[in-house]
Amino acid sequence: MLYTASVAGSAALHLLKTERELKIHSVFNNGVNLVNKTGTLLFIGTDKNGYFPFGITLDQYSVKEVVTKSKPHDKITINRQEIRHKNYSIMLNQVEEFRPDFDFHLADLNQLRENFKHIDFSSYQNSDFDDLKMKKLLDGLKNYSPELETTLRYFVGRGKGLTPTGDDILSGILYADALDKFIDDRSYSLIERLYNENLTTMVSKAFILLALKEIFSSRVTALQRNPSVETMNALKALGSSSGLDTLYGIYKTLNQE
Amino acid sequence: MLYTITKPNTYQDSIVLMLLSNKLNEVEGVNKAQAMMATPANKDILAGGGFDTEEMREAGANDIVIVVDTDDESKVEEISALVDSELAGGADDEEEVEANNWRKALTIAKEPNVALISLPGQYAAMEGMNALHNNLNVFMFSDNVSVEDERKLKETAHKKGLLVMGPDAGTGVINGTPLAFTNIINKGNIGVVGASGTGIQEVTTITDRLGGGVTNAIGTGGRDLKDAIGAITMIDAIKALNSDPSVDVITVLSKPSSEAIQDKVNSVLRSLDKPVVVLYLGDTPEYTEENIFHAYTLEETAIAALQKSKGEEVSFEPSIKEDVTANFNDKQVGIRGFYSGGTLATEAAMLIKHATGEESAEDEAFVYKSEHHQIIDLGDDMYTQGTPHPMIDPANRLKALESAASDDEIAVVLLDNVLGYGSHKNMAAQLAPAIEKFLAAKKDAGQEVVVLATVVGTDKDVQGYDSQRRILEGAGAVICDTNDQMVRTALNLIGEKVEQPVREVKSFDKTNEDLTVADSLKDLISGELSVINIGLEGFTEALVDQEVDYVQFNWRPSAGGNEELMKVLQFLNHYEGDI
Repeated sequence: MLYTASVAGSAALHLLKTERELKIHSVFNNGVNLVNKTGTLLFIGTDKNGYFPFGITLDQYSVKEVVTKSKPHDKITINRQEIRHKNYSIMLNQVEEFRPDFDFHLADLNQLRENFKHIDFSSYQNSDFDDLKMKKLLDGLKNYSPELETTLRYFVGRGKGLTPTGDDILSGILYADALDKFIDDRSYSLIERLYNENLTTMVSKAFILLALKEIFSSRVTALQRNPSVETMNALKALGSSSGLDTLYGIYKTLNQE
Repeated sequence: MLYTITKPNTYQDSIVLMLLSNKLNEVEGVNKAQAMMATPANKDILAGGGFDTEEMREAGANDIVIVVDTDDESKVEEISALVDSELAGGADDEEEVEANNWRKALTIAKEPNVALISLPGQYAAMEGMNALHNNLNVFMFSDNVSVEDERKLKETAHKKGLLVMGPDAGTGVINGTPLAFTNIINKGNIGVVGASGTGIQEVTTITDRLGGGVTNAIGTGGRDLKDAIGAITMIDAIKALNSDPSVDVITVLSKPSSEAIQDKVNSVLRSLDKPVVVLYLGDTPEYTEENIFHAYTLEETAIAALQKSKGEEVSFEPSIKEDVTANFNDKQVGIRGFYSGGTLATEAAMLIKHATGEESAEDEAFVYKSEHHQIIDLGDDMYTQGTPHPMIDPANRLKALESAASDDEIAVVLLDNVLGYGSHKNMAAQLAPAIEKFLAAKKDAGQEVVVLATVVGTDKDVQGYDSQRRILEGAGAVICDTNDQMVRTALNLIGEKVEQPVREVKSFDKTNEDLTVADSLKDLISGELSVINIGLEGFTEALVDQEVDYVQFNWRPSAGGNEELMKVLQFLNHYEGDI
């Protein structure tokens, strides 16, 4: 059966240009993850959660079919315009590239701060990510010290789910940093080193490694063009808690002393 | 005692894992349980919470790990099954859309009004009747339904104020939603009812491309205008479109039928105030009427309806591709049409016959086979036994093109590429290499030939109208805008021309048919669609895209598939007398 991809992230297209063979790493309800030999990830799924830099978007029906017909470890071959599995092919001839939005300068930080007042973050106060933990992390990122590694190890991979809460919060912090720089260069290097240590899921790892290059998904970068509560709510709706976790990271960063 | 279950390379949302943990904690005999992605940070949390096991420590960051504390070892199997079922189904936060019996399908469907049936013919009629008993309209894709069953279904539907579209209905648009093999068409003020699938597709896509719109295109099934059926669906559908205030023009498509049936349909049309365009494809219309335009081809039908929808006079000039030339040798006098759309093949046959005057030989394998020309419908049952339809699978057309390379009589080849839901996602890319090879073989043999192709689709179809045209063009085909234009271009290339019929304007007395329409039919064509899909799950693709509510009924034959016993059960289920 043939399916047609509609949108592909720039990181996904780059991987498809450089790789001839991938493997299915995992299959879950909303899509499948493919990996190359070095563990770089390519996600095939719907646009339900917006567009991802490492994502390839199909319609909901096709994703359902792809999920049903895929098993972990299945071989995938890449041709010029086709992702081929023994049971199906995904055509890339009509694909549009999702290009990351680097126009961080457009963001209205004051409006974002104002509108964050409409989002309820109270559930974090009795969690593993309360004000004290957040302050320690933000201070550590800003004024690098060797103790930052311990703090980061606490956050990385912490929490249930596909992208654990600690990672989503860090992703939010990195986005807020792209809007208004505050992180010490040595902190970036440390984050990169830790995320290459397989301390979290490969989906989280893919998100953070791209976030370090200031590449974020469309639901996140929408905030720099439209800082409204609606945009925040759209991001909040992502995943079970991933969207809110990301917002929490941005909120705490923009409001740090 | 702690037991560990590891699910390698498995992902779930945090909410699923939280719910799973909660469910496991509720199992009697379980002291406590926890499910998490086994990242180092989470493993520290598990160890700190009293869930420290060797297996948990060994699990990787991409694995789900579940640790259960229970004193009852016999619980482990139950928990393992619960974990599997929760991870398999519990993650789907979307609404339940699958059922395996009528009761469940009707319970979970949201005010369903259409059953889309694609079961094998012997079961389709039975389930069609079940659908009607449950007050659902029926769209029956299935073929091999007996004429008797079709009549029974349609009579029952008519009495209940419902519609049976089909059997063998390949195409339909209901209130803007495409069903089965159908293109995505702009909504608009033209209503179509047709006994031909690709005929509806050709007319509605031309309408769309020229800026018009069709909100309802009701397929009746190819036999509806036969004497044995009596045009029951056609007439009910015409009345329904007439009652819809958003419809300004009604278009009727069919192959010619008996005089009695055509008179019956025309009588209903002559009682309408709304303008009508009617096509009995294959006939040469000898007259037209002030309010009813009698068209000759599918393109003319579409143009006439569009002009009438704008309150303009009908004026259609057929076209050909002017700048196509070829030097044929003396032997090269033949046209070969390798079609996937049956009605398009019929139209080609009609135009070639009318232009050349060559009669067709009796040969089931051809829609038209004269001394020099051949038109084949590769979607005909005789070509699709054991192989998919040529709109899905290019194999038969590739073979036809391959063998055409050694046919020295060929001057022009005709190909159609029908887009839309259900069709191949990139047929042009499949046909292109075969076209290139065919043209190269002919060139090597010192012959010039022309391959003409037409794409039936809109810019909203998933295959991409423009890109399909470009791919075929890149392979050397000349792209025609319509089937009408393609066949006329082919005829022009071999020095023939089909004349447009001259039609006098006739007047008939306005008839006085009962045009009353059941509310249920009005609701069908202008209300919200909600579908129970019985059979091919692929048909839900269009419903998902169009955000239409549906339930997938995963049908299995009752009574172990024993047809006689099934009929007894069917009778008992609907018996209303005393037993």
